[in-house]
Amino acid sequence: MMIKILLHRELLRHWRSRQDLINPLIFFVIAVSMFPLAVTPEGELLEQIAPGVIWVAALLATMLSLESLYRDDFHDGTLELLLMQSGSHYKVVIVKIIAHWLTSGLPLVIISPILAVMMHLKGDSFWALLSSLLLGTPVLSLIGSVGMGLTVGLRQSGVLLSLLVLPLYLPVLIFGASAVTSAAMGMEYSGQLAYLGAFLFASLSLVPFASVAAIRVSIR
Amino acid sequence: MTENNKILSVEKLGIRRSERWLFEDLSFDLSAGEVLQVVGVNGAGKTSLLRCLCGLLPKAAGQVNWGGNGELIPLYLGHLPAVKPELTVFENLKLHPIAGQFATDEAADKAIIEVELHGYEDEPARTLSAGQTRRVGLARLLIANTGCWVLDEPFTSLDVDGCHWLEQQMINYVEKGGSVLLTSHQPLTLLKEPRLLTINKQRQI
Repeated sequence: MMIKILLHRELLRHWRSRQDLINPLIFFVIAVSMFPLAVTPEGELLEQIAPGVIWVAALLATMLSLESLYRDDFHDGTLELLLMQSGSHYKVVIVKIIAHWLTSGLPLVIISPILAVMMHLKGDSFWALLSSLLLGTPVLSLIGSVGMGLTVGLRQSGVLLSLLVLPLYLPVLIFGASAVTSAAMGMEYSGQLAYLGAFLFASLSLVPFASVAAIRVSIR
Repeated sequence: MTENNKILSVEKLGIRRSERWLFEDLSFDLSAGEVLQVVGVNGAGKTSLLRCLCGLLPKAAGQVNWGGNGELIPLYLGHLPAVKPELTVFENLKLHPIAGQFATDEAADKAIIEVELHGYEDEPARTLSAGQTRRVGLARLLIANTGCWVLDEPFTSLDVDGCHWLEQQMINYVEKGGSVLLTSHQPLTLLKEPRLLTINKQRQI
């Protein structure tokens, strides 16, 4: 019951400030669509660089969207209201992460097929991209919530946030892109997906604690 | 020791901001139906004390015990209005937890009428003035189903009528057995003189 209302609040809040949601998505599309123009429109080369390009763009787009996780709520005082009055810090944090993924990770996954076609990804590699993003973007939201929780109280947190979060994003990037590359070469890619799944469950079990602790440091 | 009507007991509480102790060894009790006004000079740590009691600030020493077994969630209204500009007035009251619960539609409607924001229910809160935003926050007092209010400078940006209204709400609440812990620079005119708690750096009374 509480989770349902909190989720309603989060989604409504994101919907009312749609501009913040659209920006990372536009960045994702533009960044990827630059490559055929800048490098070469040749199918073969594009297919080779596509996994890395799409994954890096997705990662940076997620970084852009992290701000919307806690920043506004922190500044108008609703974050402390939620934490204090709900009686459960973990519920608040988990709901916020779920809402963040639904509003920023999921749109990336949904729009990625268009970019895959643009980058000449076909058949297996197309599905590998979709499934690796589906498993990987929740991990990005989860890890990002810890970094954002730590830096939400700081004025100029952009660089610090990337320094904190990007090293932790690297395993996801490596295995996500490598799944697509393997698929493009006609090899088995379930191993990489299994790793991504393991990352997802590991972060799902550890991140709520880290995230709550991080926010408690910032709210003072 | 274990009185039933004790809402809050604080023992030897100390709060530290980085290396500087705001205060140490602060002990006091709050019983049901009591108003406790925290006074002290600017920077003495009034806000820090309230935030610490509400669990928003870690304590450096001592014990804080709510409602005997620590299950009571007080309603805390801080310096920030805690009103979401994108959400409407009604949604602000409905979708934010208030003392561990969510308001029913009727309770939220009634509170909006009571704080004289009738007609603004479906307006986004960003269109409200500072005083009106403050009233949205104060409407939570009417909805909250809890034994204690913790109010940090509740009279800020309220007009004269608003101040009288808030004092009247406190009188009603205390009569029903609620207790109020507040910081305020202005003297309160309640039925009974509020108990004062003075915070000084060196010693407490």
